[in-house]
Amino acid sequence: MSRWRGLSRWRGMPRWKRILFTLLTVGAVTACAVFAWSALRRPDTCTDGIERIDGECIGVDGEGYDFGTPEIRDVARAIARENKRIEGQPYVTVAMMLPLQSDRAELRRQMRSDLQGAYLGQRQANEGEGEPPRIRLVLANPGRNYAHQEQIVDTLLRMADAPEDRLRAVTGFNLSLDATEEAVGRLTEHKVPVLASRISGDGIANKDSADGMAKLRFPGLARIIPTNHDAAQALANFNGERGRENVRTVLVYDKRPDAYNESLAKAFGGIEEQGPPGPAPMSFESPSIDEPGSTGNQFTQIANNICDSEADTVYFAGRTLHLRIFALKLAQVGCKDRHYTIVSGSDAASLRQAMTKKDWEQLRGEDGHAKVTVQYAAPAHPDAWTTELARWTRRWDAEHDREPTDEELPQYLTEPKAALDTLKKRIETTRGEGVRLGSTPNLEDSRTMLVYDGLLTIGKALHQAQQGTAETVPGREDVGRQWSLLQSRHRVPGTSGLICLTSGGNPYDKPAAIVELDPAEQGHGNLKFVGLGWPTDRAQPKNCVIPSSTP
Amino acid sequence: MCEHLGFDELIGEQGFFARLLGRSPSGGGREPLYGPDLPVVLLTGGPGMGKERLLRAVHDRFATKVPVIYLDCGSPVYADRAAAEPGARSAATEVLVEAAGRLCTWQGTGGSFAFPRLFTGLAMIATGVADGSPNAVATEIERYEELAQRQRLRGLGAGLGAGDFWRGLLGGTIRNLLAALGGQALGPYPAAVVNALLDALFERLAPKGRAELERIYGAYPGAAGQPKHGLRNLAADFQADDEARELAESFLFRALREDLEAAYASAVGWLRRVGRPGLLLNHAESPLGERLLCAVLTDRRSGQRDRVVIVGTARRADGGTFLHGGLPPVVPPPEFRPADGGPPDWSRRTDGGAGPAPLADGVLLLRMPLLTGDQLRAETERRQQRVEPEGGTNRRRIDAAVARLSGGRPHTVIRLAAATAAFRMPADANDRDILDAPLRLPGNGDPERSVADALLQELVLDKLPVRLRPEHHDQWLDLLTHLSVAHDEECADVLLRHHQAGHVHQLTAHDVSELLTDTGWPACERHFIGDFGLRQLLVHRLYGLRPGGAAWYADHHLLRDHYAGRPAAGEDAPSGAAFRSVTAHRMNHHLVSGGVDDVVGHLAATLPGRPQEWCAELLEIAQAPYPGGADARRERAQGLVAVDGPALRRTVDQLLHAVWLCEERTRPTGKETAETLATLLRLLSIMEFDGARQLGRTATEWSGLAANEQPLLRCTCSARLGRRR
Repeated sequence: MSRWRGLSRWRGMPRWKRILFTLLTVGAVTACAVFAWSALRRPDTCTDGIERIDGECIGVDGEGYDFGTPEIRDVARAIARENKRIEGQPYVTVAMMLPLQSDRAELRRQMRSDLQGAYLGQRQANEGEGEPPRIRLVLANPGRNYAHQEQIVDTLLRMADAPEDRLRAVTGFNLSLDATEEAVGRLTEHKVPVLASRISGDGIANKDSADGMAKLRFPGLARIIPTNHDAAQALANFNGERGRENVRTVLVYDKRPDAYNESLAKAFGGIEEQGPPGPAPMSFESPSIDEPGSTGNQFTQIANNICDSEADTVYFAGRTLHLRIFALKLAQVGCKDRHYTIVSGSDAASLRQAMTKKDWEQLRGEDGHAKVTVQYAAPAHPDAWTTELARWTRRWDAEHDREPTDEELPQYLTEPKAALDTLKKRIETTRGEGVRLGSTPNLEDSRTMLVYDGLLTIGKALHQAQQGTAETVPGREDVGRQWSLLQSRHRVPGTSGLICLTSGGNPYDKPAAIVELDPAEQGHGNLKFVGLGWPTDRAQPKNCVIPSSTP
Repeated sequence: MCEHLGFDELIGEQGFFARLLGRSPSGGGREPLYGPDLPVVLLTGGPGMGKERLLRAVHDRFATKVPVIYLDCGSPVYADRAAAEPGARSAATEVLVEAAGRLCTWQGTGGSFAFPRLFTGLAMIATGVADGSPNAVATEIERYEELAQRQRLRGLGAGLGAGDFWRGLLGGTIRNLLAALGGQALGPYPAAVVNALLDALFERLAPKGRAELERIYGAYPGAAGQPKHGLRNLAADFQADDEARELAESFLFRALREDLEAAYASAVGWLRRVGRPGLLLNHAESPLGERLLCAVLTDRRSGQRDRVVIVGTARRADGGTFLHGGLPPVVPPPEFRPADGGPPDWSRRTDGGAGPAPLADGVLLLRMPLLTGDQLRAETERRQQRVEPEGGTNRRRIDAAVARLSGGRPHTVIRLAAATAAFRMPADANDRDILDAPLRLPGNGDPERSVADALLQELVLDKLPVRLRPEHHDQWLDLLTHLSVAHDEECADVLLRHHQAGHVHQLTAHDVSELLTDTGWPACERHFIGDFGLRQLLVHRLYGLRPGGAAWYADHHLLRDHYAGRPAAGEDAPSGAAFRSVTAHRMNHHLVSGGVDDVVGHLAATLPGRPQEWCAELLEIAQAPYPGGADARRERAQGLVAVDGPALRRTVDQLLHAVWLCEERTRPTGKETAETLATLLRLLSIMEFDGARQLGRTATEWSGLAANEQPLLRCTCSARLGRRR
């Protein structure tokens, strides 16, 4: 009835009113629809430009946003201040891409270490050479396990095209995952230079060919740490005969598809061994990178099997979490007071942070002597250069019976040492300026050093690529082309060692810092630098000139 | 409430008028009925049927939603106004100016109207002013100035609405015209003023205005497409004889409707206006009203289309003689009786006969409804709510009396219900007793008078027949009063001759009958005054004219003597008469004027041998009103009054009184009288005379009718009482 009356009232209106009301209604409906559509379409945001997806804050920011991680707040703001400082000068943007949110405190601390390195590297690059262009650093959070890398890459590609952003390089990348590979693939496909500061997986690397003419899988990708393969080689080389004796070694690997695990397993498996055959490789399967699942049970069996064999060196191709459980199980099984050395990859650098006091006690056993020593090839270690120089000097002394002159000291040790000193000085300066970074940078886990080296490398490439007046900035392809030129004279003295890049963008004969987790007698165990391992079994040549025979 | 009594269906949200006007009283839109060829709606019904009340109700309910103008064509004011300048105005032009003037100030949806086409015509006939000087003409035209342009736009000077009719002069286009006209020094020839005015008008026309004038006035007879010629002819015709003036007036009315049509059909109108405009013509049966109706009906018959709803009143049931071209209606116009349901389909008849079709083809008759029993009861109950509660018996008695006397005629119901709200009457009293009830009209300072007087004033004196010559105006009620005892034209003529003796101008029974039909009173084959209610009022008045009902007796004696003087031989009455025999007619008048015993004697003597004829004769004789005073019929019918004579005579005496009681129909009869009737007839049927047995069947028949309050002898007016439609 009321509908009928409404219709009747409607028909009783003058046409102009009906037309007007119709137009108004259509307009209002359209406006509502547009509003509703845009409200539905409008992403839920954490802050300006940062979307909230599945509870994570995904996006790119250079204004000091902490992505909900309090640990990185100070350093993010410090980066924003530096960005602000260089605003008036010619600059290019470099994105630091890595997951910036986590439930686990140790991961959040690692993020802080990474960002501290980035900040310090940015400062160093912006001041060191005193030439344009300056580096504006932005933080890009692709979410846990790089799950939302696609959106971030979209944003980064837009920034690369945008004249106000001028994105010229993307760095970061701390995990060798399929998603990471995809992200690197897309970025390099669009000619955005990528410098992977902490990727060790063999999958995310260009193959070097002898003539340097091969088509690169990731054109414009540079890496500054040895691949797992190189690191494994370095470890094997470091351990000498012991590491190659088949009967005393066993490989334990994770069957879960994971670029890091696979490349490590392949690298360990590829070490040429001698002597009678030892035990066959043993596999386990973990549910994911940060979940223990049933690995404890699997490791108990594996430990028993190892105990039955003669092996005392275990090559472990797995992630840190599982490495910790494995080490503890191996110590627990307690096999005729045998001492084991577990050799693993760069991911083990996080092991020390994950160990509790109880864990250490377990590794020590009842008699207080270490049952298990974990040895791995860290990408860098702050003690490496001093220790190695002292060791070299001692050898020189023994051989020449005199102190070496400064010129006689090996360049591959002195230059990284000088770089490390500069970094330490930079840290001091920063502290002196009152810049808060959330904590005093701890160089021991190598993250700060590597990210710092990455920024220095990018800075060097930018300055090399810079042409014409200070106002023109290099194109992104120009920067990408610079990677392979960074060698010999243009080598980059990084805190982690000399960085001289091959035509595939791989570091040539980058030394690995072999470190051991020593349970010590009591309390927390030490992370002890034990020596440098060279992938080629030889130190880098003078001036880091890459020999033509390099494959 | 009383204003809308009986009209709820017609003027409601979904009613006939909402659909006719295209908009409901609350402003809702309705699919318009009919069109584009619209019928002229005529409300038909006699006095007191609520025609004026309905028009006013329509105006009250719709005037804020659609431009509806109420005009009283019976009002002398238009003629009075026209009399000031008889050469330049007429009652018809004044009505048109009045209508246009009111529409110029209409403020509902769509806003006011302008009448530039009508204005042009009115300006032309203004040249006929007595003082033919340009100044006098300009002064006359000034009267119509407001019609030329839309009110709201006049101040703005606008080029909108009617603004595109005149050339876009800011403000006083018409004022300039008047100044220009007034300022001219012209010769004493009227033609010179006409030419000057035409020049001045056409000078100020916009192209659209010129085209419109060409279309309308170019079609004036003899104009040959030249608007100036048409306008000149219009002015000339208006000055000429009455017939030519009627043509001119009809053209002006057409111009008004064209103006309204343009206001709706223009782009702005299409956007702004809703529904249809309406002209409500009260007293359209007056000469002025007939003129207007004729004009619009003739135009529409010839194919001119407009969306102006024209509703008029008509007293005659056939809508008026002018509709039928002087011929008796071959096919009556379509009639809409609200009680029958929704409005009928209407379309112009196209039978393609020779000669122009009658105007009646363009008419839809709306038969004014009598009140239904429920409406009647609702009205009397509503009145009673204002007085103290009383016994139900008295109330029912009064309600029944009101229902019978009014016959459902709304005005009579309203007056009787008002007067009898606090009236008390005995159960066996005559219905006519309530006519003495005093009536005080609210807000009326007049002294109290009986409701009968009030009704006679309102139904008869205030509604004199249009064609009644003025010299008869004073006599009219008195003549009707005397005629209330008449049955057919013969006895009516006897009475008329008697009461008009000495008058030069005399009305014949045929004249009076025609006048009554014109006034909308129904006819009846057995009663000269065919309306039951009116007859009761007149009978009541007749009895009270002289003390002791002397006038009543005198009239009946006159008629009795008239028929007594007629040769009894041959007996058969002339055809068309109300009685089967002169004797029966005489006996009827004799019965009510004191001759009961003679009538009983006559009846007792004539019964044996012819029972069927006798029964019919008894019904005719006993169909008579009862004089005022104590009514002993009931007692006498029941044998409670001692009567001398043989059994047959005594029984006939009782039967006559019982039938008389039943046939008067102003008293409740009911089962008791029905039984009496049956008993008496059965008593007769077992008596020893020829054909006595045949009365047994009559006993069953009559008692059945009486028990159900049905008339024993049917005639048009008694049948109408039962039907109430």
